[in-house]
This record gives sequence, C-alpha cells and structure tokens, in this order.
Amino acid sequence: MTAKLNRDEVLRGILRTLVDGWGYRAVRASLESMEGGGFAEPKRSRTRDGDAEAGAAVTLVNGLKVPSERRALLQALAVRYDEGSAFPTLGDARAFLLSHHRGAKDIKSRSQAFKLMLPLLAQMSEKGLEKVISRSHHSGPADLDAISKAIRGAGEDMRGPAADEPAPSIDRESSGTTSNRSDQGSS
Amino acid sequence: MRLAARKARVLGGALGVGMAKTGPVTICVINLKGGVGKSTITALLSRYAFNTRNMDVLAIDLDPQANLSQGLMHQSYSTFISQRGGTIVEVFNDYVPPKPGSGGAQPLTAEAVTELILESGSRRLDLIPSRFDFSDALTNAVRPDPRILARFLSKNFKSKDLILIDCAPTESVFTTAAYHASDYVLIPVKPEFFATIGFPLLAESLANFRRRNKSHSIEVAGVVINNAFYHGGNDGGPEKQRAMAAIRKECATNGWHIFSKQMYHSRGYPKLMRGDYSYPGDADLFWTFAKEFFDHIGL
Repeated sequence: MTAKLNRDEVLRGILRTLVDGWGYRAVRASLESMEGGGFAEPKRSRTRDGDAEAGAAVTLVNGLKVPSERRALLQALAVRYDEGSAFPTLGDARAFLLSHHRGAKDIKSRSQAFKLMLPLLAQMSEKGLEKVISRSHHSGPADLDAISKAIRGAGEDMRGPAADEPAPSIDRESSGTTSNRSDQGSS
Repeated sequence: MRLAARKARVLGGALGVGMAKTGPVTICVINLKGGVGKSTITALLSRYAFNTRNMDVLAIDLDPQANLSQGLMHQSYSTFISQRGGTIVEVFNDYVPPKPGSGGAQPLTAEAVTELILESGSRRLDLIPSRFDFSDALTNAVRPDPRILARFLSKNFKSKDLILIDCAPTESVFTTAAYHASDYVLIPVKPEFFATIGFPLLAESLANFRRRNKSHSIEVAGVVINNAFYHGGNDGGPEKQRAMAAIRKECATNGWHIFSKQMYHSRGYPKLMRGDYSYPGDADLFWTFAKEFFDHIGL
C-alpha cells in the first residue's frame, strides 16, 4: 500500500513538472498520442480513477435551479470536471469535500463526489465560483518547491536579484553590500 | 468565569438578555516562541468555526513567513504571490499600490486584500494573506502605526462573527497591532524543555500593552497544549511531565487558563496544512479542543 502511494506520488511529481513546463493540454495531448488512439473527445476521456460517466457533472448542473450567471459558472466548472481538467483526481474532489468538513471516505468515483460537491458549489457566489474554477486545475497537495520559486520570483521583482547573484550593473556605493530593502520600498 | 461578561455581551440573545451582537470576537494566536503551532491552530480553528459553528470568519496572517496563508490557500498561494495579490502589507501601508493600467495608487478596500477560502450562502471564510516583504516594515525608517489594523477591521469587518489573527513569534509593532485589534489571546505551547521560555516575555508584553492602553480590554482566553509537533508524543514520559509542571506553574502565576483538551501528536497536521487529506490521523480530533475553546469564550 505504501509502495503504491509512493509510486503515485512520484508519478504526480513528474507530471507536475511536465505540466509546469508544457502546460496541461500539451501534456495530455502528448500522452494520448502515445497511446496510439489519437486525441479522444473530452466526453469520452477516462480519468485516473476510472470514472467514465460522460457528461455526468454537466447533467447534474443542468437539473439545478439557480440564477443564470451562477448556472453559467457551474456549467463551465462541470464541463472541466467531466473533461478531467478540474479536480482531476478523486483525491482532489475528496480534498474539496473534506475542506468543507463533508465525509468523503466512502466515495468511490469522481462523479459520485460531484453529487456531494454540487450543493456546496450551488451555495457559492459568482466570485466564489470563479475562485474555485481558477484553483481547480491543481492536483494534489501544495508543492513547497513551487511556492518557494514563486516567492523567490516575486522577491526578485520587488527587490532585485539576491545578494549572491551578479548585479545587473556596478554601483560603487552599493557594491559588496546586500540590497537596501528600506530604500526600495516594500510594495 | 473571567470570560462571562464578554460571553454575555456576545451572546446576549442566546442568554435571553436580548442584546444585539456588537461585532466580531477577535482573537490573536500568539506565543513569543516559534514552532508551537500558531499557524496550524489558526487555520484549523478558522475552518472549524466556519464549517461546524456556522460562523462568518476572517483569518489574518500577521507573520512574514506566511505559513497561515500557505496553509489555507495551499498551491494557489504561489499563483497569488506571482500575481501580486493584495496582502497585509497593503493594510499597513494604507493604500493599494499602482498596477499597470490601474490609474495610480488606489484607496485601500477590504476586497483588495482578502482572499476567499470557503463560502456557504452569506457566510465566508476570508483570509488577509501575508507576504515575505511584510518584514520590511520592521526595518524601514518609519515604523507603521500599530493602530492601523484595528481601524481597518473596525471599518470593514463589523459583520464578521470571528476574526483570528496569526502572530509572528517575535515581538514587534505587529504584536502591538494584534493586541489593539483583539479581545482575546490564545497561547499554544509545546510541552518540552523550552516550553515556558516565551511565557514571561508574553506576560510582560501584555502587561506593557495594558499599561499603555487602559481603556482596552484584552484577556488571555487560555493556553492550549500542543503535542502535535512534539517528538515525545502525547505521553512524553518524564520530560513532558517536567514541562507540564513548568507550564502549570507559569500559568498559575499569570492567571492563565489551561484548556483540558490537548492537541494530539499526529502526522496528520502537516498533511492538512499542505492540503493533503489522505491521512488525517489524530489531527481528526482537533475538534475536541476547538469545541472546548469556542465554548469557553462563549461563541
């Protein structure tokens, strides 16, 4: 069991690196071309968890009575969910439910999970749904490396390169010292 | 008992007094010693208050290390940082800096600095995230106004039920800012040799604040024993017993309540903070402390 989890984690790490570099669509298209069957239609795509119910999420949303703007956002999310690009694994759907303190241990498929997610999603505002959609492509727990890179990148944007990196130009007054944060402002 | 007056004020309706709710209860989670679980406790109390107690919650990350922000936003924190979303830095600067096409600096609004974490109907769990350059405010020539946070919260978040502030482990102007905004202080402590090192510092810090702000009522809600990150586990043997004796003595000296429910040692806590729900372990029992805590302060 542990060995299997570790293999899954390794696979997820490799895929994350590929998705970061090439983007989700390119990686997916490439994987599917490797199978030799060409690019499958999204509705027929099969997720990692074996959930092959085509359009199940969209069908559920269509049966919902909600204001039109919210419906449009729910449909957009449902389309991505059915494609497998939103909450791509069963674990992601479980994480959403558990973060709302909803039991998710006995859930066996993503389509089953969506049935439990929908009442929570239907109670959200348009802004809240937009947030969920924008965050839903991520799979798995937070990757510290990605967060560290983002912090480093934003830091260089705000403060200039780190002290141990070569400065873009030589400034006699500041050479040999670390960057003066207070002079550069904080935001 | 000490919290009864506040309890009556907050829950006037429930007690049959018919008083209106006056605003959120604000609690800062603090210990002037690091690594005691402040961010984890703040994140989990926020979620519990939202999900189980049906509260409208605001969590505030007052630590430049931004662990609370990462624990509530998970992977989206990296996108947020890259896109330069609004943070506690802007609250202390009291304006939103110019962005391309924004037409210069903008007035500070609640929306500009809050991130939605959870939502259900009209209730939300919002976060004011932190950013690494928040610490620059401590080294800049001009120190920020410590009352600016309290003013901002009183103007923008009166409709919230609960505000939780995760403090940095070093005393600074941000600590004072947290005190100015807070009704209560919650103190997590790890039962080990260095456990009580932060207590005298914290007691002195609170005493100084009270001396300078006589009209401000701020109480210590209590001390929570956090075994979560303690290598000795829940039992801990004689080392834990010694640490607990020191903790009890310090708490008695300061008149601080110790919550009876401890946080159990569990690998599930760091997993939850990463957004990994595959194995909560005994972290699943955090609610036992959370329930006692909210019952104690009357929420």
